Amino acid sequence: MKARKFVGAASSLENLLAFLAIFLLALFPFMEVIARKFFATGIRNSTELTHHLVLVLAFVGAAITSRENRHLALTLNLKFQPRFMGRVHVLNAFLSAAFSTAFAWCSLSFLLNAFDAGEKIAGLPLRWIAMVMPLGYASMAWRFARHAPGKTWSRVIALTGIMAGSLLAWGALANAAQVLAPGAADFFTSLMPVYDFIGAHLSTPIIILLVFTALAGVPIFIVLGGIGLMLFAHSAQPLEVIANEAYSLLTSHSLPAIPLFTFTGFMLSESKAGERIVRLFKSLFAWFPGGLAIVAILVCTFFTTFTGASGVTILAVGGLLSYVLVRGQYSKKFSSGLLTAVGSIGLLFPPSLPVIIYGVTAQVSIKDMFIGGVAPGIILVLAMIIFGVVFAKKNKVPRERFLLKEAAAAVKDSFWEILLPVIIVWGYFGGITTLVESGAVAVIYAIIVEAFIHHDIKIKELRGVLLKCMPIIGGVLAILALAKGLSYYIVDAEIPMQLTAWVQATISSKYVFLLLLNIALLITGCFMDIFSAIMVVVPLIIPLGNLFGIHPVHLGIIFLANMELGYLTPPVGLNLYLASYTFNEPIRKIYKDVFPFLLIQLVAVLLITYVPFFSLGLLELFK
Amino acid sequence: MKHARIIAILFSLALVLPAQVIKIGSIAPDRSPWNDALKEIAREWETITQGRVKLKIYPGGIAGGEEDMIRKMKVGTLGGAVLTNIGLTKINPDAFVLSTPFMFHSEKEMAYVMERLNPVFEKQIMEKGFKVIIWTMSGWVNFFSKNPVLYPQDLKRQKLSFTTGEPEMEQAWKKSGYHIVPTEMKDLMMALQSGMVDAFYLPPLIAGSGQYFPLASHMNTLKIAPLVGGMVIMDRIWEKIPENYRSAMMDIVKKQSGKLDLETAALEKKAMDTMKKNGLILHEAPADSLAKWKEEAAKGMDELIGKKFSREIYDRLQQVLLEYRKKNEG
Repeated sequence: MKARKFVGAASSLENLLAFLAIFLLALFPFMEVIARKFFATGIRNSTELTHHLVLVLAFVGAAITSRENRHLALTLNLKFQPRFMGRVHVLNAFLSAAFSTAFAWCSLSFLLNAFDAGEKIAGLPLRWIAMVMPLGYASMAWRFARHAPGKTWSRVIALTGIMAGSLLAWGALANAAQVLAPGAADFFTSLMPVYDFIGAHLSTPIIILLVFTALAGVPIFIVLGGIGLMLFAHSAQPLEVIANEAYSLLTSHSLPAIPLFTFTGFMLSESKAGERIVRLFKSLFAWFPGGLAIVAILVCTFFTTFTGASGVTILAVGGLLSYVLVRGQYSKKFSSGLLTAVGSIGLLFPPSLPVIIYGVTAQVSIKDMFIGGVAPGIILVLAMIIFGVVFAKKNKVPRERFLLKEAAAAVKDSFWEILLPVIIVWGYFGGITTLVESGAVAVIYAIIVEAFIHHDIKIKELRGVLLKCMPIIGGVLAILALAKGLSYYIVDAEIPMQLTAWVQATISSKYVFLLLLNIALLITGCFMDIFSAIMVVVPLIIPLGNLFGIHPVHLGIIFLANMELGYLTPPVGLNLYLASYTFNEPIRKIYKDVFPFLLIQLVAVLLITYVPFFSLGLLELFK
Repeated sequence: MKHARIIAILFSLALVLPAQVIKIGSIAPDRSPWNDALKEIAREWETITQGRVKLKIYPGGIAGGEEDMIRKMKVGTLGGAVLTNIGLTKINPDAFVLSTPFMFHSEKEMAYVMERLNPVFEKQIMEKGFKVIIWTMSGWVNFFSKNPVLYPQDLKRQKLSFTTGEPEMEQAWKKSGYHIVPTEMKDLMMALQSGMVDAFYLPPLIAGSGQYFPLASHMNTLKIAPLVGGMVIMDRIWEKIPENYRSAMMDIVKKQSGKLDLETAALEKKAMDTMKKNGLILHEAPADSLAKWKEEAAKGMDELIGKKFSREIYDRLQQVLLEYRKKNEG
């Protein structure tokens, strides 16, 4: 009884923290804008505060995601005997609990060793703030163990996962103990040989096990993080790096935009805004064959140009647009596939941040990069549009006559929602808000419109909306955070350098090189976020590009277009995960939905790769 | 026969003793003079230690930004790093005194001060577990702006971008009466484009390579602050290197850093030429302007002294500066 009370209290604490974190996350940048615009000042340290609020939000969110059992997993429809599947599920729970525990120890040791006791953010000791990491993982471990199916014994097995996880991360545990309880050093060193043995001899089998169980439902973040952890353990390296990468990613530059825009999108789709926008889009665009699909593509393209390729597009507008398309008689399959595929499609158009960062890293003129990206960008968008129109015609998606009266009424009806993108765009391009601040303004605006103007969502219900959206935010951020750990292993082991050296030594044909580049970049796009990829991969391919006589602007366009495609490539492309959450479909279904779109984009990307004219033609013209 | 045996034993010893691989992260891009120097150091260290010490270099920030690299050193993922004063200040806040605006007037002055103060910083940094291998001084930070800036009031009419991360310095600028807009480096381009900011201060090399200057094409030659940096290695790792090698290793670093100074100066000149060719307008700082800038900066000094760095180090710096200026006046 007591235990149940405790669990209940912990849950409400999580909810409260999540609510506070997202509220403050919207409030600080918003106040910063006000302070800057009207008082020519700012909030002291608001950037660091904002970044650490994301850290808190991510781990509280991930804990809530575990509570709701909503972590993303592949879960193929395996046709085995129920008895056998039951055992597989117990194994899944065991592994998930074990690795969550291991991540908790890594995080604890990380915060003790990487931060000084005196380091503070806005008066709060950094170590205390970062405690949300180990606590979050610990609560996940506990939930995974409790969610094990079946009788008591299966829970006991799952609980032993917590012990097994401690052994997996014994090195980190010992490092933490050195700070907290130096007296117990002997005890911790006594078990080190076990840890070393696991790292040296069991890493490979454990990684193979993880890959297999991934197909049977172990959450993706556990699989990615677990593989990273075992690889670092295998090369006898400090495991704290897994936690460090999570911390670095979650406190990075434009990351706050993800929860902010996700929440905004959720506010709109949970209110009756969806209805109003459906009416608006139908009355304005449904007279044209494929009209709604075209608008959806253009909205996504435009949204990506200023959010970069962070995946925000799907989270922010995916839900709403999917609703619009389905209500416009497009099949769910087509809608999900299309919206997943266009989630990063505007990547090449200004003012896309990846293009700018590419220009700086590769020392290519940013202006040239943007000019070079126009035609390839249009090719990608056009390919999707044509597909949309053909689909609409073939499947006889009903069209509606354009009626000025209805259109005017629809515009009037959704006036406040139309104003939202206007405010975002005007703020961002007018130099009033940064991307993150636009997200904050959007959240506050959406709350005002839906709760106070339209009264669609009552203040009391806000909590419910947030709790519905938390598993998405938490689940997505957990995947991103642990994927960063795995991608740092790739950097640390200098795998891209070795590949380049190999290419330099063995490949002599330009076309073979381009083909290998396509493949390598597709894989990179699956595993790395775009900014890491630019920093790690671009310096390596520049000399190769020179060697094979590829124009640096063309190389840049190839790079970015391939990365965009990588986000859609099964099994691990990031946009697929985001889509699975947003459209509430199992990931294996998303694979199927996106497949035709993926093929078309592949053709477009190959065209961009092998026909330099598309990237360089305009550039010549402007010279 | 005897020799052969000794050689065989030595050889097998060399095989038994595993090479110590030290991972060094660096913010300097691959194929930049800094990274070339680092590679050269790696090569020579390996030679003189007969392969016992090997460096693995992670250039161009691929091992993370400066704060990230410091954390990676603390947890043991990296053995060392090449940092700017942002990173060195993160380890030891007192080092920030070297970046105080309008404090130094010339390279010579700077060199004089660094020679006397660096041992103090090195000791403080050592207490945090890092060994400073070398200090570098590679040029100065200048104002770049949309409208010409010669005197403080010119800058006060524009919105000055401030790279986030040093709240005390941000307050100091504000106290001096400038309109500060905290901007992250990645946002700077867009902020200049959209008019969120009109001016920034950066080393000319970064203004050039980051392609910011076309958006703020007036540069003032006024030296705001020196660009200090350095290479650190975790002390516990440095201590593992056999002692007989260490001083020779330090000599190699000194030699390389001397060469580096010349190369960076040449590189900066090249960057300036390219920028001028592409529309940069250079403004010589008027003779009477420095005093005015200093006067304004003094208003914000309270936000730094005792908050960002200790009063002792500030006073010590003033004392050394005074000493230098007295010596060189007469």
